[in-house]
Amino acid sequence: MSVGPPLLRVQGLRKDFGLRRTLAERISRTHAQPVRAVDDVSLELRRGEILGLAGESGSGKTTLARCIVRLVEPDAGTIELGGTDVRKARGKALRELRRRMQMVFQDPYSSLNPRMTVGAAIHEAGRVHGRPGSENREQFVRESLERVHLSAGLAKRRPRELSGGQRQRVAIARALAVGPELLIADEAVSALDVSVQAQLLNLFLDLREQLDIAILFVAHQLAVLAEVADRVAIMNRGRLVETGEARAVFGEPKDDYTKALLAAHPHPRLSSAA
Amino acid sequence: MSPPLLRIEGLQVEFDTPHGQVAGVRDAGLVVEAGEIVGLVGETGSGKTLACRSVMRLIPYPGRIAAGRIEFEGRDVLRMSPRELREFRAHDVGMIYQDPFSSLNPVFRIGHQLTETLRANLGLGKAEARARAVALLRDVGIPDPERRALSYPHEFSGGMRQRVMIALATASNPRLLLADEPTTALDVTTQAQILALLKRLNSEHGMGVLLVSHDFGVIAQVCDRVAVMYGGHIVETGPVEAIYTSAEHPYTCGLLESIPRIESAGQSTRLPVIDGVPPDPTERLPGCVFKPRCPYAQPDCDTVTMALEPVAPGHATACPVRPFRAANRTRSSRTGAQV
Repeated sequence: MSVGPPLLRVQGLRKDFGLRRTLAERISRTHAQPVRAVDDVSLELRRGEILGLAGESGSGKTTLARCIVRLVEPDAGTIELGGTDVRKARGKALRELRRRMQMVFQDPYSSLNPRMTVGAAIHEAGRVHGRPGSENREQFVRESLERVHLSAGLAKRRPRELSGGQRQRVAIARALAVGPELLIADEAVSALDVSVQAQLLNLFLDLREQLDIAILFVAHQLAVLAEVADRVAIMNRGRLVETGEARAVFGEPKDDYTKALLAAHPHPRLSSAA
Repeated sequence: MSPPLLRIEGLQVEFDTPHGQVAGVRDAGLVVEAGEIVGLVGETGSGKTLACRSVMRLIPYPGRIAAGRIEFEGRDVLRMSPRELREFRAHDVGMIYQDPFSSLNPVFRIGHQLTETLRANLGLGKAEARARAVALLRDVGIPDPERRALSYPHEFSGGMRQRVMIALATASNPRLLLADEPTTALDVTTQAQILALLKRLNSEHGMGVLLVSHDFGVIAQVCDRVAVMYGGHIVETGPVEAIYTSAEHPYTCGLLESIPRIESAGQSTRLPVIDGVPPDPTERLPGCVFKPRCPYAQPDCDTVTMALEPVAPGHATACPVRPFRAANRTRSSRTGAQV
């Protein structure tokens, strides 16, 4: 872990989602209480660090991740990436910020254009952001694919010809093609089988070492986070209930919700030692 | 000795496709005794769901059961007449599916869907069926069942819907429950509740359960015995303790080693991985199906026939190299590089 000022600093972030009013509420002209999806969340992430974000479905993990890259506009709070105010950025500055923060989603099939070859998808990302080296398409694509341990021969294939694990590698390769400083992996390994999942988790660890990027790793499986994360943040009902070193949070959880989550987590070991 | 609750032998499930015949399940055998929970574990495409659905003869077209025997309490399921099959599905087995969101009809109230099943399967009268439906909902742990019976599926959470599915599947007190990834779509806390419910139904009613899952954690929590599937074959079967402590197939070992563990928190070690990718079901290589990825593969693994050989009481493996751990590791890698 490198020291220095944090790359990403989120403070007091809040996002409300208004519910559709029922007929009765419209007639009586009242408003339903909005759902606070992200409630006063603050976190920091350094270069070369992997922060795991855990919580049950509906806890606000994805909304938080989307707020950070401004796919969802937060209602309050500040987001800074390397000193730049993310919430104030417009136009060109926002585009540049989006290059520096890339996202990888859960379902690689719907995040890749089925009609584009793997090579075209990776090259387009590099070209749009004018990445150095993207003039030489073949080499650019080859290097991008090799970074995620895929052979350059896959460049001519389309997403449907690839396995789930390969597709997710392509999605990661495309995210990395624009040279991001922060990678947000939103349940990026959750849909994969264990053997493929293990390969991908090792890949994330390799990338962190080689590229010194920061990774916000969102997952509902605690054990997955235990494998990759340096620090973890546990989210419940929009709030971060516990944040700390992975070993400390999983070893000696302080918060009751974290304890409950850990207790419910299925252990690959036997429940009752025979 | 009375025949086992469920016996599958030499099951072969094939699909006729424009690209030729594809076998989803190859020569699979499995036994579930009454009152036992058997786990069927495997990765995507390993054929575990097909094997499970074969028991109900619910293989989607163009798939078909090409060979094999399925016996329920000694009765041949594959030779049942349509009427017998209907009776069998109604009274003897229940099935729950992975997705509790699409298994319930969204336009009918929960109670209605339960009473409909009860009246059709058990021939109960209206009032009787309604009372029974409420009792079933209470039994699977739904609070305030009288009122909740009047709710529609969209008013239920995922875990609640899966409870309703379990209530539906166990409405006629089946002796065998087929649970196909019942908790995959659910959160861990909900998952723990559903697994506890399955375990309770199993011990209270002596119901045999075939639990299909890709999650070894789920299997470890509730199962008595486990069968591991890979590439359409059952590669290892045994008591759950034996599989976890002394697996006798390299695939099972590789799979167990690659499971993320909470205990790894704070260590920056890499997970051991199985190199390569799962087999393409359209290709049939001679010999062992796991050979291309096996770190212990020997030259004659190309020619062996896959068959389960006993290694201990109730524990059998399809690996011909025994003990495989004594064999030289021919390959070893933790990078997960793919071709």
